[in-house]
Amino acid sequence: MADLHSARSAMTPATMGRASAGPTDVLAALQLLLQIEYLQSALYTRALTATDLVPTTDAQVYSTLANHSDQQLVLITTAITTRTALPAPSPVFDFTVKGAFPGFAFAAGQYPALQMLSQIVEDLGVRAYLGQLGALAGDKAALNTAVAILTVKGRNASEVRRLRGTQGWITGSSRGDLPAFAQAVYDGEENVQQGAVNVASLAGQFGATAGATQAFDEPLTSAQVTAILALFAS
Amino acid sequence: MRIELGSLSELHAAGTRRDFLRLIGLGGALVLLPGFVSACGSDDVTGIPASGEPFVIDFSDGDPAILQLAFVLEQLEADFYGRVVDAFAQSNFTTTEQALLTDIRNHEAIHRAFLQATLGTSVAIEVTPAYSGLAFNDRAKVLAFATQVEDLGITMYNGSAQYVASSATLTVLAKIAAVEGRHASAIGDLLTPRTGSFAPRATDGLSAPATVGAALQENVVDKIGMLNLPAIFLGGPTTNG
Repeated sequence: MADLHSARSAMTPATMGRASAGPTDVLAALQLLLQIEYLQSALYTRALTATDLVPTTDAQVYSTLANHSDQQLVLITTAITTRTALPAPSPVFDFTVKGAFPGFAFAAGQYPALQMLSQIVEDLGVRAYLGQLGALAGDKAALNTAVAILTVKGRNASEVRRLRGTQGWITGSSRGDLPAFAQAVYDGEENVQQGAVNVASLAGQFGATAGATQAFDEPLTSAQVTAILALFAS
Repeated sequence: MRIELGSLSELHAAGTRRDFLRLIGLGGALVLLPGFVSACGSDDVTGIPASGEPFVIDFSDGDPAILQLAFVLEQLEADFYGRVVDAFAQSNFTTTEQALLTDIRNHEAIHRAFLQATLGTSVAIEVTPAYSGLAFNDRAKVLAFATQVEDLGITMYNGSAQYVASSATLTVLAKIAAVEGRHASAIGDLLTPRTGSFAPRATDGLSAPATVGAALQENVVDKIGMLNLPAIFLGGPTTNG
């Protein structure tokens, strides 16, 4: 592996310097991702145990989401413990998100709010994982776990968006009909500068700038993710 | 997989490729990926996989080799969806499905253009896709191939991440991979709506470059060679549906 990384200098401006992330950064990244997994797992577990919340037509989708988030939670927890650290405990979540979903209690008839929450936590998950890859780069086992989960977050996000009649991908920084707090989950998604390339300038006949923003998901920093997670703290 | 050392005459025949020339100097092992060389293939649209001019992805190049592998994949995806969109007038896709597939076509064309611009036109190797008679106007066949190519893209990006030296390149390729996940989900849901087919497992797979190359070869006319493949491949986590 060392041979590869000491290969001749990169040929393109997009391939910039390597981050010097160490074990401390790896654990910090895993702990942050653990918070994402706690959030998603809590949402889907409560949704599945609720009565008359998820319509039978969508029950299989939600049981899949719950099953996946449980397994992903175990993977991240195990990644932390095998690196001889203690996983932070799960917070208690407020799924009204400080009143942005007034009275939301996983009750009958509240499926539209659950669908919105699902979209928010999945798009957040994609962007949170993207933001931690640099910190995980030096630990190939942790990196592999993260990328294997990342693309499933992308799948989940697409599904829950499409179930509620939204496109599976994010256009610009649009939060659509979501409450204002969710804007933080979408800010920065309008980026079209990928490495040395302005992809909007290449997208002309292929969806123009809108297509250029849809074609790439964008990372959130640890600070941005932490600030969003704080909104869910009870 | 068949592993061959290219003969000198073959190497001279492909002498325009700098990697073949360097191979002579280095004496490195060259893996020519297996492809169908079938005498009956005569379809204008598809061509015959692995019948064309050879080219080499040299992994001693580091990150550009990964970008080149991704470029081959994205060329196939963009070309495939382009043909699907062009066949809409004769196909049985609903207008909603046509809009979705057009979006995906756009994304793949942008990925292709991004990788070409990042590699630079002198380095980016263009390939000719081959489809073995795929009916681009047949919904079921198109969605089956789309699932296959999206899953290949996901496992390619996921399996290549471990070899990327630059964290900026690592992240930008993962930005694409996440969107391929969004595509695979939408295609899966078109095939079997509101089931678990949008995400068959809790984690996606990781494929080694040689595995990806062999899969790509089945849909690429040009003969894909790989040089100095990484000795170590670390797989991903195991989960279920």
